[in-house]
Amino acid sequence: MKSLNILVVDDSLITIKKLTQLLEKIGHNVIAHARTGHEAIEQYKLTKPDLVTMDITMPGMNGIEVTKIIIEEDPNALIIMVTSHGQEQMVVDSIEVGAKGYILKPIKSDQLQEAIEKVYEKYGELN
Amino acid sequence: MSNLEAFGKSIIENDSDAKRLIEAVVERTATYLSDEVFINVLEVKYNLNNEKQFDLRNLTSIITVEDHLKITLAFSYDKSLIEKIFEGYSQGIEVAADEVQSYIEESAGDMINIVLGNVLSQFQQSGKAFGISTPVIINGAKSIGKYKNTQFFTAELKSDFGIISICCITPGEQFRKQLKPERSDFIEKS
Repeated sequence: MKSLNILVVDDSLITIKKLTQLLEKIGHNVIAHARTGHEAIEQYKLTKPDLVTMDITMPGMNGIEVTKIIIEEDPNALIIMVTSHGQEQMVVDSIEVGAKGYILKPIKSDQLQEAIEKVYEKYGELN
Repeated sequence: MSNLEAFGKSIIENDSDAKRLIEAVVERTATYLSDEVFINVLEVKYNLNNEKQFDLRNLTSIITVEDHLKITLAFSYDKSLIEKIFEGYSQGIEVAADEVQSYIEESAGDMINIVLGNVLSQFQQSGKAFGISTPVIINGAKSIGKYKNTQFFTAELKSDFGIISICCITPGEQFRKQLKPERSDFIEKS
């Protein structure tokens, strides 16, 4: 698959750095990162990434609320939730607001690659 | 319909639920340490007998889990252990010398978030996801003391690099029966 321009959203800087390292290792470009919901919305508008990785638990606006706002603006946005929460209802809530995929922390490089490929193959052509 | 039925089953309704939760947290913590940062847990000690206070180590991360009651979980680390965890967690990442302490604190926050996020999926019983706070990090505190009817369920995990103490703070059993959520812990600064 082609190399994607990715926006990484997470309140933890060390997670952003780890995720950036993994994404670059599997051939993608991290073009921006955001540590809060507001920053994420701003960066999405500014950079128009091919894909977003979105943490759920953030101070202030959580990742599900941010996803909802981005999807309202751009229904074709490709957003993958990257979170530690394996609760079934959390997955359902994320998909309901428009997330296209879900991956559990701790993040493994092969799972990340598989999730991105799946989402891009299924929805990427819409963009 | 009782309040309990209206809100769905709580994570902790009795002492055996609390025991089950802390055992699951200990098991996932040990797996995380071994798989992610290559630290083996050598020994685990539980204290499920409602201690009067939870003594804190060098650095502590705290998360509150909320369904219709609030439950507080604390992970408290020896300095040598959290430094080793940070070393494993940040492998391959460039960290400037003046940023190390804040990254150590983020490693502690990420670890409790990942462990609890992973564990709670086993405990979800109602159609509503638990609320989980962002982690709070505490440096230099001495202990968390009991207040009113709170109960402490604790465990200590010993490794080659030091100890991590885990504490699950729940409203007391009488309190749980009454289903009146409120904050029920305080932190004593050294």
